[in-house]
Amino acid sequence: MKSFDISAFFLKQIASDDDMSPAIAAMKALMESLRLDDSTTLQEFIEKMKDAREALSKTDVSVVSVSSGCELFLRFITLSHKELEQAADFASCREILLRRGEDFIKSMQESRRKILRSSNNLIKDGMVILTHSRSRNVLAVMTEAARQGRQFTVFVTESQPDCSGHRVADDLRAVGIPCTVILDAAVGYIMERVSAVMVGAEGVCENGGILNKIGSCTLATLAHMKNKPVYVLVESYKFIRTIPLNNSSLPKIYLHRASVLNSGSDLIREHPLVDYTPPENLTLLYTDLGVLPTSAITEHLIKLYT
Amino acid sequence: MAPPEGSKRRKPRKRSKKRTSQSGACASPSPGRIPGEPLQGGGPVSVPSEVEVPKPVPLVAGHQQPNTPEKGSPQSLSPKKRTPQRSALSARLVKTGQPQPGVCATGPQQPETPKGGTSNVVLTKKSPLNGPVSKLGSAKADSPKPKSPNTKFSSPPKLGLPPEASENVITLEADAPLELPPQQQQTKVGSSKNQQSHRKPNSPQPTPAQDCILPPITTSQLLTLETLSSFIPVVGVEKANSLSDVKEQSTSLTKGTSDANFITLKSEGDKGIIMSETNKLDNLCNLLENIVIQHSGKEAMSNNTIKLPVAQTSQTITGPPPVKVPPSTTDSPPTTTSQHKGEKTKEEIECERKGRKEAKKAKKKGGEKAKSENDKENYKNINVENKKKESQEEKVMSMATNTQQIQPGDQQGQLQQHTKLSVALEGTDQSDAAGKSKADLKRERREKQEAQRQAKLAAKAKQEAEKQQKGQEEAHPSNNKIRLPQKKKKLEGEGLRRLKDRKSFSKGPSDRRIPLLGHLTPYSSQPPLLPVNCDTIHPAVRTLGLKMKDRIVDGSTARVVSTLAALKQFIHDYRTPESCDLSRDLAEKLLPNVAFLNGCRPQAIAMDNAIRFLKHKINSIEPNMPEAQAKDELRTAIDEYVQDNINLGSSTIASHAAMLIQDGDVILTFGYSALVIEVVEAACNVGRRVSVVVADTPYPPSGAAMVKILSALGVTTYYRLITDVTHIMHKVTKVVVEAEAVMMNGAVQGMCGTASLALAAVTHDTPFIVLCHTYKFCNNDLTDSLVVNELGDADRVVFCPSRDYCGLLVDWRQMQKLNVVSLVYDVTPACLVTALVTEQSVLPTSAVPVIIRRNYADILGQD
Repeated sequence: MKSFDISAFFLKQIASDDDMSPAIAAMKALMESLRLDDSTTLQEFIEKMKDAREALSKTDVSVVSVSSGCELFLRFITLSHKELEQAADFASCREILLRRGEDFIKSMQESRRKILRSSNNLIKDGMVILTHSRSRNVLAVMTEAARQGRQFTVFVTESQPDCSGHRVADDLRAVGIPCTVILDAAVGYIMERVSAVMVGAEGVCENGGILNKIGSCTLATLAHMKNKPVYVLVESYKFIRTIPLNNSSLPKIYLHRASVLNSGSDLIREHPLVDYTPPENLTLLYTDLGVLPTSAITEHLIKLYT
Repeated sequence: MAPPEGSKRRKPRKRSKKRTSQSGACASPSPGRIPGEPLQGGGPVSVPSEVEVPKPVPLVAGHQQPNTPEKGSPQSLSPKKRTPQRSALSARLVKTGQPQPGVCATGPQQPETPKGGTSNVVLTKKSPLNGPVSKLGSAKADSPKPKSPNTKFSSPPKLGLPPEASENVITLEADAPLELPPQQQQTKVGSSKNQQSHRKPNSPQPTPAQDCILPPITTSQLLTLETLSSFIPVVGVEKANSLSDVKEQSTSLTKGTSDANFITLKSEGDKGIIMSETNKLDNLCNLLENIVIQHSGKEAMSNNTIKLPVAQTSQTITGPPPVKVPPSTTDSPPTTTSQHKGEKTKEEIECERKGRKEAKKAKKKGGEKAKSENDKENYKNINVENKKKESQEEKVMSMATNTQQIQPGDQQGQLQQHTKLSVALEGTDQSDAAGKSKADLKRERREKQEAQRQAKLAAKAKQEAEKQQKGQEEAHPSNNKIRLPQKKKKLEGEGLRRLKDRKSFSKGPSDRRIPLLGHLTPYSSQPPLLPVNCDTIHPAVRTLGLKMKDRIVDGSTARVVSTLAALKQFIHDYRTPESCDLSRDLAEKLLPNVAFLNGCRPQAIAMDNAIRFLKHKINSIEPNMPEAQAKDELRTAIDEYVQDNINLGSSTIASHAAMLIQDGDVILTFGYSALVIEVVEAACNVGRRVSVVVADTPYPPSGAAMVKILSALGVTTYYRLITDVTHIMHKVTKVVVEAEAVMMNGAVQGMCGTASLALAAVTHDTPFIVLCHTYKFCNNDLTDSLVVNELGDADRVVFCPSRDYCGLLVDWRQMQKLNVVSLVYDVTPACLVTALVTEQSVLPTSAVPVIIRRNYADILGQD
C-alpha cells in the first residue's frame, strides 16, 4: 500500500482517457488502493480510505466532483453493514467491498447513458443552444441529437481561463454540428438569440444549485433574466451535501487548485475555478435518476446519505 | 365542558347550552308541573279556579326559586370571599343608582317580599326598580363578568325566563351545592306577610348572592370564579334558549318568556339601538312594527300611561323610541291590554293553570304561595300577548337568540314593560310577586343593556338622538322632547362607567369580528372557564395554562418543554380506573387537559406536534402492560423527546449554523431567540468574530433581553427597531432567525415581523437563514399568514408607552370601522429562505417534506 501512489494513479487515469470524468477516475483510484490494501481490520481500512480521499482531493485538478464522488463511493461500498458484519474475516469483507465497488463504478459509468436517455427529446430541430465550458455530458447529448438527425446550432463560450470552449467547438464540428465560439463577455449579447442554455456541472448542491466552471453563474443569471431555460446535465454522483449561502461562502478547495492554495499567494488575485449558480436560475436537471427539478435534489441526497 | 374560547366558540356554547336548556326544560317542567298537574294530566290546561287567585301576583315565584339556588351555590363554594364581593357590590350599586335605599323608601306597596319587594319597587317606581334589579343583576352578572363575557348572556335569559326557566335552572344547578335556596324561600315567605319585614329580608338575600358571586381574584379563586361564572352563564343561556324552545312547545310559561324577550326587543327598537348590528335591529324593528300594527287597537291607550313612568326612570330608555317608536310603544302597552282582555281567553286560562302549577311547586319547594301567584298572573298576561304575536315573536326570538347583543339590550325593555304591566294592572298584589328571579333577570338585562347602550351611544349617539326626536315627534311630540335629554345624559354617564368596568374585566376584542380574521380565536384576557369541582384538569396543567396565558411561559420551545413536563406530571399522577384500558382511558383524560391549554392560549404548532407524539406513544402502549411500566415508558419517552429534539437538537443546530457563519459577519436577528444566542456563541467559540444587530418590535421588546445576553458574551451588538431594517440591511451579511414552525411547503412561520425581515434580506441579496428543530415541522401547507395564526392582545398595540400618543386609541372599540389587530405569527414563503438549519443538517426548504415523511411517518400515518 505504501508503495502505491494514489494521486499518481488518479492523474494517470485522467490522462489516459479523456472521456473519463475525474470522479470516475477517483473511484477507480480508490478501487485500486482497495485492491492493494493490506489492512487487517475494517476500521483500519476505513481510515486508510479516508487518507486516500484526502490525497485525491489535494491533486491539482478541480476537486468538486472528485470529493463528492469519493464520498459517495466510500459510503456506498460500506453501506451494507449487515453483510460486512456477517463476514467471517476481513478478507471476506474486502471481497464484499471490492464487489460493491466494482458494481458502483459500473453503475456510475452507466449514468451517462441514462442521461442520454432522459434527455432524449431535449434538443429539437432549429434550436440555438448556448453552452459553457466543456462538459462531457453536453457533448454526448449533442452528439446523440446530431446522430438522430436533429438540426441545431450551438454557441460556445470561450470559457477562460483554460479556453476549453475551443476544444468543445472542435469536437462539435467533428460530428457535423454548426458551432460558433464567442467571448465570455458576449454572453449577454448572444443571449436573446438563444433558445436554451445547456451546461454540465462539477457539483450539485443540496438545494439544487450547481457548482460549475467560472462563468456559469453569469450565463444562468442572464438566461434567467431573458426567460431562457437552463438545463443542467449531470450525474448523480456529483451531488454534494452542502448548501452554499452565496459564492463567497464556497470553500477554498473548491475555488482553487491545490497548487495555488499551497503556493501561499494572495487568493484575491487568483481566479476562482468555479462559481455557484443558485437554483432559482436553473430550470431542470437531467440526471441518471431522471429529470429533476432543483427542489428534488435534496430528497435524493437524503436518501443517499441516510 | 369544552373550555370557552373566543366569540366563535361562544356561539357553539350557546347552542350547547340551548340543548342543555332544552333538555333541562323538558325535564324541569315535568317536575315543576308534576306537583300541580298530576290531577289535571294535561300540562298547560289546569284548573281555572286556582289561576284566578294568583293572577294579580307577578311572576316572581318561579324565578325566585332558581335564583336562590344559584346564589346559594356560589355562596357555599366561596363563603370567604364575601367581604370583597360586598365592597364590589356596593360600589356597583352606587353606580347603578343606589336603588336599594331608594326602593325601600319609595315603594311602600312592594316591600312584601324581599325579592318581590325589589320587583315591586320597580313596579311602583322605575328608579327603585333599577336599583334592586341592578343589585341582583350585579350580584349574578358581576361575578361572571370579570372572568367571562358569558354573564351577559346569562343575565338576560334569567330576566326573561318564566317559572319554567327557573325550574330548569334549578335542575341544572342541582349538581352544585345548593343549601341557601330553601332558607331564602322561607325568608321570602315571611317577608311576603309583612311588607316592612320583607324589606329587611331583602337586604340579606341580595348580599349572599353578591358574596357568592364576587370572590377575590387570586389565581386559585380565579378558577372557582370561572367555574361559578360558567355555571351562571349556562343557566342564563338555558333560560334564554329555553324560551324559544318552550314557545314551540306552546306552554304558557314559555310564551311569557317569549313575551319578555319580545318586549325587550321592542324596547331596543324604540331606543334606536345603534349597535353594530343595526341591520338585525332594523329587521326586528320591522317585525315589531308589524306586530304593533296588528295589535295597535289594544295597545294605543296603554302606551301613554306606561311611558310616563318609564320616562321617569332614569336608566331605562323606555321612553319614546325614535323612528321605530310607534311599534315599540304599542308593543309594550298591548301586553297590558292583553293581560286585561286575555283573562277571558283560553290562553289566559292556560296561563293561569300553569301559574297555579308553578305556584304549587313553589309551595312544595319553598312554601311561597304569594310569589307563585304573582308569577302566574304575570305569566297570564304575558301569555295572552304572546299567543297573539307568537308567530312574529318566534321570528323575533330567533333573531334575538342569534344576536347576542340584542338580547341584553332587550332586557331593560322587558323590565320596564314588566314593571309597567304590574303597575297598571296588578298594583299591590303584584308587587309581592316580583321574585328574585325577575329582579335578577332585570338586573342582568339592565347591565347588558347598559353595555350595549354605551357602545351604541358612543358610536351613534347623534344618530340616535335624531331618530328618537323624529320618532317621538311623530308618536308623542310633547313627551318625547322632555324625556330624551334626561335619558341621554343618564345613559351616557352609565355608559362611561360601564365601559370602564367592561375594559377592566372583559375581553374587548372578542366582541368584534375582524374582517378576514373571523376564524381565529379572539384574544381573551381571561383563562377558559372550568366547570365547578372540575377534576379533569391536572393542577400542573392549570398552572401552566395560566402561565402561558400571561406569557410567563412564552416561545414555542419553552411552551413545548413545559407542556410536556406538565403532562408528564399528569401521567405520573394518573391512576387507571378499574376495568379500563390505560391507553384508552389516559388518552381520553388527556384531552380536556390539552383543550384547557389550548383555551388558555391557542396551541403553537410545535406543541401540537409534541402532544401528537405523546398521544401516539399512549396509543401504542400494549393493553396488557402493567400500569407502572406503561407510565414509566411514557415518562421516559417524554424525557427522550425533550432531550433528543430540544436539548441536543439546539446544540447541533448551533454547531451547524456556526459553520455557515464566517469571520467578520454582521448578523441580523429578530427579537429574542435562545437558539440564535446559542448560534452566535458557537460561532464565537469557533473563532469567528461576528457582530449582531438585533431588530426588535416595540411590543413586546423581547430583543432587549437578547442584547443583554449577547453583550455579556462579548459580542458587538446593535439594537434597532425593525422599522430601521432598511437602513442597516446593506451592512448585514447574514440574517439569522428562529422559526416557530416550518410548513410542508417550506413556508416558515415565525414571530410577526420575520417575513418583513426576509423580504428586506432578499432585496439586499443577503442570505436568510432559518433555525428550526425538525420537531417543529408541520404537516400542513401555508401560503399566507391569515389561515393559521393567533390573535394577540390588541390593547397592547394601542397602549403605547409614548407620552405624546398615549391613550389616543384607548377607545378604539367604540369606533365602529376601526379594527386593531395584533397577529402573533407571520409566514415567510419558502422562496425567501436561503437555508434551513436543523439538527439533522443544513437543508433547503424543499427538504421539509422529506424530513416530515421520514421522521414522522409513524405518527403521520396515525392521522
